[in-house]
Amino acid sequence: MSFLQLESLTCRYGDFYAVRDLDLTVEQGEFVSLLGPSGCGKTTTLQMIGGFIEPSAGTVRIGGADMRRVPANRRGIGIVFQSYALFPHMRVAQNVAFGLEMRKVPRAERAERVRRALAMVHLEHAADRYPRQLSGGQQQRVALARALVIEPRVLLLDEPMSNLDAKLREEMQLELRRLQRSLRVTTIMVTHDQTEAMALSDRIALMRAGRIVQVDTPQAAYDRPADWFASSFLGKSNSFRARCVPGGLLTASGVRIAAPAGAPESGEVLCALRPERLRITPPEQGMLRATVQSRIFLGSHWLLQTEGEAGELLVYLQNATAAAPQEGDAIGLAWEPRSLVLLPPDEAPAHG
Amino acid sequence: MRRNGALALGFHALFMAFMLAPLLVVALVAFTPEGYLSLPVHGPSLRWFRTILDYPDFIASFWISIELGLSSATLASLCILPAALAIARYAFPGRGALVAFVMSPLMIPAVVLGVGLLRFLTIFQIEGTFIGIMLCHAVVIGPYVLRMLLAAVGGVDRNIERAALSLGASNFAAFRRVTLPMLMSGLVGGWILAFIASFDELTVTIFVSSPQVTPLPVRLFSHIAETTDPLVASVSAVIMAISTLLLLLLDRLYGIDRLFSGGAA
Amino acid sequence: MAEAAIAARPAARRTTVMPYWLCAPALALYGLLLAAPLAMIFVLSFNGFSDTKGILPTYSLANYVSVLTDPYYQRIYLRTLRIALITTAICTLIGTPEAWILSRLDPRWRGVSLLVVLGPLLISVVVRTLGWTILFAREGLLNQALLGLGLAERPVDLLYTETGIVVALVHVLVPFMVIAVWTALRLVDPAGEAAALSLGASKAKVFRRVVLPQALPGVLSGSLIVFSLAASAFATPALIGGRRLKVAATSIYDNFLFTLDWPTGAAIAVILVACVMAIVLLWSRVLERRDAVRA
Repeated sequence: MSFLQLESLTCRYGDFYAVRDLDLTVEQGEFVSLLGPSGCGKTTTLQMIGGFIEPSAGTVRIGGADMRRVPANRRGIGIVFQSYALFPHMRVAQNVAFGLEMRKVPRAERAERVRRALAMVHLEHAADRYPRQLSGGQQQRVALARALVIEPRVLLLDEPMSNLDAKLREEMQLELRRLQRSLRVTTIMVTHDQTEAMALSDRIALMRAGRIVQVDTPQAAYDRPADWFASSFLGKSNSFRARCVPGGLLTASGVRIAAPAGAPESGEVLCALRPERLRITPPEQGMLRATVQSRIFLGSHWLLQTEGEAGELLVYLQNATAAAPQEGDAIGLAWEPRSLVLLPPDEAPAHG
Repeated sequence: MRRNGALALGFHALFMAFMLAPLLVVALVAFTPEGYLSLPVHGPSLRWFRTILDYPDFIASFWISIELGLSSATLASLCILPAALAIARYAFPGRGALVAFVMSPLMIPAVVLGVGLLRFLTIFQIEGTFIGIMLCHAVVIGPYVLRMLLAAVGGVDRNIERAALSLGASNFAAFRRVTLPMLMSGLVGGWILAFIASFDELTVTIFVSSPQVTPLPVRLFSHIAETTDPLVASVSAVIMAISTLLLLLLDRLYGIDRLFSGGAA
Repeated sequence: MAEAAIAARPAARRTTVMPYWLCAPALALYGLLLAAPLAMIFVLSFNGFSDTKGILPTYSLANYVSVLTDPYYQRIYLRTLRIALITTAICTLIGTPEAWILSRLDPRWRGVSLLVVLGPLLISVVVRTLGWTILFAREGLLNQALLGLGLAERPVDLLYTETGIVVALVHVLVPFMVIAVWTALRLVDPAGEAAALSLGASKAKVFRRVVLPQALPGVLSGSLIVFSLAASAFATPALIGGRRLKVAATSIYDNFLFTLDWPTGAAIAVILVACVMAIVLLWSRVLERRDAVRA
């Protein structure tokens, strides 16, 4: 049975729905990210799980129990906020001990558990310092230790890495993943950073305008996006409109291309292609023709901007052996049929 | 563009001289050995400070002012702290009106407040009593406390309180162990500011005090109007010394520009 | 930040009764000791008065009529207004540049300067005004200085004059002006000046077109504060004006504590508040209109 269940969760302010009819089930020990642009309702959802905002409708269940009447201080939840929210007037050790104090854990046991928690985040030496004497990364680890020492049933993370610089962020992501795996605590993380979500999560819940658009493992969400928003939010994606015809697809410019297996025989679709799935071929051997407009060197690969029979298409070309095409070159583009994803044609920018 | 020219600095020096002149004069005259208002050109003397001891009225007034300050600042702080928390944390109808209400003594002419309070206290027959004056002071100094506390509460990250709750603290425990310590400097600063305001208060107090209970500024006021001996200067010097000490304390705690601009960082 | 705390909408919570409980003590204190007394004064202004029986339970506009038509009180109101306007003008003229200079001072000197300029606010007005009475006296120091430096032939009489009141009031009230303008100037982004300079504006232009407009709200609010405080000032006019030179506040004092004609005193008070509010609202409206026109 699922450990955390959100059923028709809604949060409404007058006519404005911050979160609308949200359903999500999370298994014990799973790491799920709520991913989406700002304003999509992910933080509001997190606060409803934590008990800081009362839902207008719907339920939050933890371990099967309805949390409706349970206040925030009795839900057994650990939280790490974006600003870490450490108690500035208490030392690190006291910060971490706070939750145990509130649970009336005897002093000796408290000290031992605090020590172990700080060891887990490699900060035993900082136990007597004040938060203001610590760096951002250290503060974040203290916040994590403080949340984990109480052995929470659910761990909530609200954009925990957004205040760290890029290098530190990468380190912390690995650290967090290791911790979560070893402790096996059910974790919900809110983030707008899709790389972070993909790196850490067992599953990603993509959110937009208060609703969940798609829930899937990172790879499934990436390879099989549910719509244009999902396709463009996770990674980069090219798109062009086409019409389904028996046995294939017809682009707007009249070129016929192969359709992936199971494609319908009629109707308008939006075709999505990841830049890294496009192959450069000689012009006559490609499925589409195009010309290179510009190229940018990015170290491990080139980014090519091409314009052709399906409009503007971006291509990632690995910087391996073959020389990259020059600006102005005519090329052909090819891809595996299953790399082409068909999406509903609404709400996409007009293309090709 | 950020340096001041000689003209500007000259103006600034004149301005500061203007601000200091009357205070300096009073401080100097307090040390005169003569029997009339004059500067101590022949050397300072503590004569007029010792004379204060011959005036039990002034000494009594001094203690009344101290006690008034302590009690009214405390009463104001106790009443306004919960209100400041409510105003900064909740959106409720009447919130803006309440703030305007508590801040209004700054805008209403002190004379009008004074006579109104006199009228009001007379009805309950507590005009001229210590309690009566203390209640009036609490109302008059309240705005200073509110301004400081709103700034202090506004500076407390709400997530810190949520963190405390999530760790299992009850609302009261979170307040006592987390919020209150973080509010301390604002609370103390507001209290000291309120104390000073009460200690200095004249216009409203003149109407609600009585010969039996006369705070120091009121007694000083009457004395100035009647006589011209340097006693008023030495008493004033004592008042200035206390105010300056508290002022320096506040500057150390808080920074004087933050005090007056309502805590704007 | 206090303003920000007041203005920022806190996270909307479901309707709860908690905030009202928290505000109860303050509401009780201010409801009883602010709203009620003010209401009482308003009502009192309509009561009648007799020398023998004191306040009469009758209600009429008689007090207002007698005060407004009495040349004695008319002179007092005119004097009060005059003093307030001149004081406000002077405070604006010297307070604004002072705030400007303060904002550009080296931080080392700024702390001391602020203490000197704002510190007097925390010293009782009696003490500050006493200093001026000592300075103004006939044989006082100011005259000794003026005569000594040859700037005057006879001692200048500033005590018991309007000029004296204005000078002392300026001293008492100019810190408010400095605070208001200083607060507005602190919000001016120095990068804005740099940007304007880089775009080719002269220093004077930058001051006029970039800095001054942003400081203006501070000048406005400062002048309003100074005006209302000057119009209702009590201690300074009482000590420097003496018995002959009355202003509205001191005549209210006379009525309440000497002649004991409280209803008349109340009427004077209400008229004072009404006048001050009217002028403040008018001044604000005029400037709002000016802003709207320019926008």
